[in-house]
Amino acid sequence: MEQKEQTKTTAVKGTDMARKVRGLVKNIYRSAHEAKAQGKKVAYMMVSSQYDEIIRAMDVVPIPTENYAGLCAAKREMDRFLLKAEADGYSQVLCSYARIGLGFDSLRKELGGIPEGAPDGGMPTPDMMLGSSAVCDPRYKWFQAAGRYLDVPTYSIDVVWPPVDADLKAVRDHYIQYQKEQFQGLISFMEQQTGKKLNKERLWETIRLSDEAWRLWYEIDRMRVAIPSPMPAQDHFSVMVAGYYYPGMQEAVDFYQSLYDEVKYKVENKIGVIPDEKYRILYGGGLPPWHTLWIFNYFESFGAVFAIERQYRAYDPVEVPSSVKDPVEFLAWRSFLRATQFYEKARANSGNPTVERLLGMIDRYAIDGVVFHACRSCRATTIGQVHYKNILGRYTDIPMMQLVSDMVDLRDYSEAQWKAQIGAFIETLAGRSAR
Amino acid sequence: MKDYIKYYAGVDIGSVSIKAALVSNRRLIATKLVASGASYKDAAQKVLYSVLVQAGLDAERLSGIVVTGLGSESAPFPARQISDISCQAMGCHYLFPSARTVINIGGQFTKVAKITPQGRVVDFLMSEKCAAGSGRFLQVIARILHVTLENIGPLSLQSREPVEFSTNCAVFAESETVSRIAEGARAEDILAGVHRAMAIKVAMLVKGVKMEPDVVLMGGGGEDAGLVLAIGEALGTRILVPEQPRVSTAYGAACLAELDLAL
Repeated sequence: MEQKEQTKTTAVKGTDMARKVRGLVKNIYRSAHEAKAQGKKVAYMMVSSQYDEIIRAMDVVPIPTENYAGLCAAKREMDRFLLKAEADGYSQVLCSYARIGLGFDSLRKELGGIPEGAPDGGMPTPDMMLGSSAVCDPRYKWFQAAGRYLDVPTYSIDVVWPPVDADLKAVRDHYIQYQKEQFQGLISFMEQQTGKKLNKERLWETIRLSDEAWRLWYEIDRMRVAIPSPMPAQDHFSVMVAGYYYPGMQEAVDFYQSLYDEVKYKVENKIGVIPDEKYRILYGGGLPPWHTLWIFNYFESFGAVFAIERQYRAYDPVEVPSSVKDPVEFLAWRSFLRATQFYEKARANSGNPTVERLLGMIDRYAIDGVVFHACRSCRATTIGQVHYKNILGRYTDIPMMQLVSDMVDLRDYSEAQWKAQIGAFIETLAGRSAR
Repeated sequence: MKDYIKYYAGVDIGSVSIKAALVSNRRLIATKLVASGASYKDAAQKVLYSVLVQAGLDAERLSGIVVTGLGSESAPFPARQISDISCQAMGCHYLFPSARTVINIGGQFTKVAKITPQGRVVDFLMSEKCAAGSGRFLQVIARILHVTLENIGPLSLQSREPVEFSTNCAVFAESETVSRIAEGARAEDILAGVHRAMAIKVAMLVKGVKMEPDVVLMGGGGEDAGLVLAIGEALGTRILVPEQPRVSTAYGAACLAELDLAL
């Protein structure tokens, strides 16, 4: 096996549209600064909290603090923020996204302004902070802790879903009602902060735009079953910016329409990510290593392409009953249906919705091997990986590997270890092909 | 007739030592091991030259070289690079054809692989970026106890009351060792305690690949009889150890050079 020198942190993209995402990212922070200068309200927010459309409908400009942490890592500008948070007493085992965010806020307070050289001009001081319990507990507590540095109001909502063995018919109405109340609480808070009432027609419009963007994104991923792979996972981790940070906006729809056209063209003309695709890999889970995204290209140097991934497109489109006429109730329904969409399959087979999703991908995308990324400071996406691997092993004998580091904290990463593991993994794939 | 014999070399560039093996028809002809030192390139050249001298050969007589290990990119001579896990698997296969699980405890990492009857890797796991999962843990404790690496095994076998370590971290274990010495614990009991702590970590990896006998232990860890015993007890199975555990990976590399498999 030949090995190539790698010096850069970011990955070479497979699609033209993925190369345009950098502009979308810059615009997130530029828009927030401009809004702030114009006296508009800006809010810290948590991605995938099911409330994105409400924020947009309230004309509040979101600042995705987790994305900012990923951006800092991709620019290798994270250490001073991590170290500042740790100096303030936050443990190294606390979510590194949160540590970067808290460290940034702490430094900004200490310096009396945005730290010099902060990527993309830094995050402006928010007018409010909107947390959520979706995915993990730090996302609920982070902004409360940030109150140490920021004298702005915080509101966190609960985002809930039932256990996989629940009788969905029996619990559904209760869950939806509870979720609706959570959204209503958020709306009341935001109305208070902005001095404006929520325009429900405007909310319907943001929902329509958001759902259209996600539908297109879903269709793009369906085309990725093509061999050779038209779009790799490293592109997915760029193009997700439109779906997660621009929901409810025409920009997201336009972006995915262009990407759809590009991927369709590549499929029709059999244009692959690499000239000689030998192995198709599934990124089985774990937040991406934002500090070392070139690792995807390293796999490609051995003919292995990440054809699909489970991380950062957590659900397929769902159909909310047409009888639902209230947009807030629609959001509650959609949240419930998204969270439970693999439950039925799971109960009929492995018992685990995540495993069902992975098995479906292994089958549809003709996967040769699975790679997980265990992040030391992300319990939500790491706990369960070994369990998933073990259950998957009952249904498939394809090689699986877990790489360990962190999503943004480079101190948990060992290039030598990863290269050794990747080398052995590729040889295992080759050995399997030879048998 | 002699002219038709083909020779192959394997060079394992590890963090602690660099090893070379020379084979012909999978038969081990010569081996050499030196400390890695500051220049992997010089040491790698030295071990390769040494096995050739031992066999009375010129470099031109080599039909193939495979280089492996953490520093394989530093090889100063043209060679095929293959991961150490694949080399360990193949070396293990030719040394113990009945082997299905191979453990390698090296200076930096512990690696465990499940292998096929043909010596191919089916599944593997590596210890984390953590000294407690590798031979480095033993080095740290041996230094505090003023025990040479060669004496760790024999001394630990004399233990009657192995010390229980409350941590699995090499850094904390180092300070815990100092506390235990102050409390009067004996060196053999401390070493046996370290072996037990390491064995628990190794056993977790082995169970992660769904262990199948026979189980072989290679690498520097294989030279420590106390560690071999502790791992055998933790796994509840017999552990096979090659005659030269530290050069087994280099031997596997040489075998792979001879086999010229598509990897």
